[in-house]
Amino acid sequence: MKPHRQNQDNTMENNERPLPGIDVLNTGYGDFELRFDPNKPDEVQKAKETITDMLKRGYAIFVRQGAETFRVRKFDVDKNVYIIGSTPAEEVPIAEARATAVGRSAGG
Amino acid sequence: MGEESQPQVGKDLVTYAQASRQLAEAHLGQRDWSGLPVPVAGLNLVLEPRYKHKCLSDFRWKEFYDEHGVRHAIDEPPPPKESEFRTVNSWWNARYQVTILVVKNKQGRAQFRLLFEDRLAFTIRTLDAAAVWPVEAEKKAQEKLASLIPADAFELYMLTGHFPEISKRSGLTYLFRRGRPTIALRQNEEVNYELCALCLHPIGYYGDTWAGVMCPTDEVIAHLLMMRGSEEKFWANANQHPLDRPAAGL
Repeated sequence: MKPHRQNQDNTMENNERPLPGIDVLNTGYGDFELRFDPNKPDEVQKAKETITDMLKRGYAIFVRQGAETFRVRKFDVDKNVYIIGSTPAEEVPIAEARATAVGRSAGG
Repeated sequence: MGEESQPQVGKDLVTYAQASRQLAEAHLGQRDWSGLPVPVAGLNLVLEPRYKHKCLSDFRWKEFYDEHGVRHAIDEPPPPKESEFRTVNSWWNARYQVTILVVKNKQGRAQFRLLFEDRLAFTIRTLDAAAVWPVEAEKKAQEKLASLIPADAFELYMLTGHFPEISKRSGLTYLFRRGRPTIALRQNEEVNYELCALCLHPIGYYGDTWAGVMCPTDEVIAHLLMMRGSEEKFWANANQHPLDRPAAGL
């Protein structure tokens, strides 16, 4: 998974659609974009490791499905899907999602 | 030789905001995806208890350099004197706008104390904390927010610093505000009353301010996504301030 800086081309080679990935709320960047190309196995592997690591560290990951926003409950490493509910219909493939991650939160 | 070893402003000496950006950059390789909080002299950095770099709460700056590169020492505040009293109860008195504390000494004799919370002091301390937010980070966060909310709501946010959204789950109205806690209201044809201010900061915040370690719009995004995607967790994780308390930011 590679960091994506502002003004950097974030489209696939055919320029048809933006690359999937995760936007992480970040103290220094505001919104740090991590993108991966679903056609490149090494990038997909890094993306899987990053998502697994974030969930392990308590990050809240949110994905949009239609007009709704859901919090990711689990990540299925074998199927490469975010699990947002308890039925198979409630799975969002990582290659189709632009998720947003928020670090552990403290009440103020 | 002496001149060469003199630290240079902009190169060896950086501002809080520059340090924030540089720390975020340097720690990406160590999987610190959210960057690192920057302690501010004179403010209490409060971090999420399970946060990896929780020890930053104890960090104290010992010196700073002014814009001419001249070094100034920062004196350690004297440790608080041990009190013979311990607090046994406290509550907020809305009428007098004070917190009333009941304290007891070792012999069990009770006394009361008044704790005044100063709104202006909150505002000034928040200005001190704002030094850690890189302006570019705030701009980037605003771009992100624009992609999450309708155009008219974003215009409202740019003009006034806040925008409302009604929860599809609970029907509550939330007023998201830049640099202040989110206000929760119950509004429908029958009733119209405010509930509380919800205060929540990703990673941490500066005590007795409204400032989090992330730029204000990042915090608005965090509140918005938590409300939309996990409303019950938003309420569970946030501190719920009565609206008449300074911490509510009204």
